Amino acid sequence: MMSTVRVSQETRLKLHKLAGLLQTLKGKSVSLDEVIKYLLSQNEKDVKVLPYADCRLNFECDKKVFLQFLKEVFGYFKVKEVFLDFSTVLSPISENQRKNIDARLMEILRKLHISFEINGDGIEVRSEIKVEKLIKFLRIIKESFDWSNEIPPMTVESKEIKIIINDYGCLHIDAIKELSSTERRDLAKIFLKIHGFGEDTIRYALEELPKDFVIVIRSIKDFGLLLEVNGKVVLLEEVK
Amino acid sequence: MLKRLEGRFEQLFEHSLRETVIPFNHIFKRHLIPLCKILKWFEKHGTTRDHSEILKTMTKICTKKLIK
Repeated sequence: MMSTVRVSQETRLKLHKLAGLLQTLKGKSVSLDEVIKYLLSQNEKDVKVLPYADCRLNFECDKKVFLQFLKEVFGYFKVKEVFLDFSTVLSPISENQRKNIDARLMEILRKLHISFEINGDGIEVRSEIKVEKLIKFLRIIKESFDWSNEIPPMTVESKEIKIIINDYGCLHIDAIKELSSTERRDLAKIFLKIHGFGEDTIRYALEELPKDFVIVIRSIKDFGLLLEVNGKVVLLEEVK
Repeated sequence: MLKRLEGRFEQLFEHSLRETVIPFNHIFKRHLIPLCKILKWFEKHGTTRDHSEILKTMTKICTKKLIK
């Protein structure tokens, strides 16, 4: 059974229009719940990493807003400097392919004055850098490489938090001290805000947010963003 | 490297616990391959003590995650 889904008047009209179309095709009446299920099934045909957040502090951000999310998280924890750690040995490519990538990566590291070591196997980065420099570095490597195929997982650590960057957009926050449920909700709030939800929507979603939450955002063509909490669709919002 | 192994192995668990569908490519490239590369690195450079630490680390994570 689907819960009540909050939608704007405009979205409601679009849903009714689609319901009418599906009704004609199926030859029987179609409820709005069924229309939303239809939209979801269309979305799942194209399996990809969806914007995701959970109470265990795993996040998958849309690639367009990932760096903004990182910046806001560092701002929230008042982190100014981090310890960046990665080794290109862990890049998901063969050793031969990596040689060329390592050379280009070294150039970027040198330009940004980020210290690194070269050992027989690859490049080792264990360097303390300012958050602004980290964001700049991540932006440059995003533009210069095919991240998922050429860049290894990384960790950035400060006194307060450790962030494991699994992939561009995909991260896990490991808090040094246990975070309160308010802090977890605040992180969820940042996540929803950077993905384009309005303040009223965020307030509504957070009111309903259980302690053990799993948030998934699905982008539905011609409709907007669909917000799912613990498997239930809670709202569908048009994004201006 | 041991800390990296810990992070990778833990993340592999985290991803397998999710209820949403995650593309197999993501798990393969971003978790399994790096994990295999760490193990390969230890095979080449690690000491007997490192090998015993790997087992301890992985067992610790298995115990923690499976009890949850």
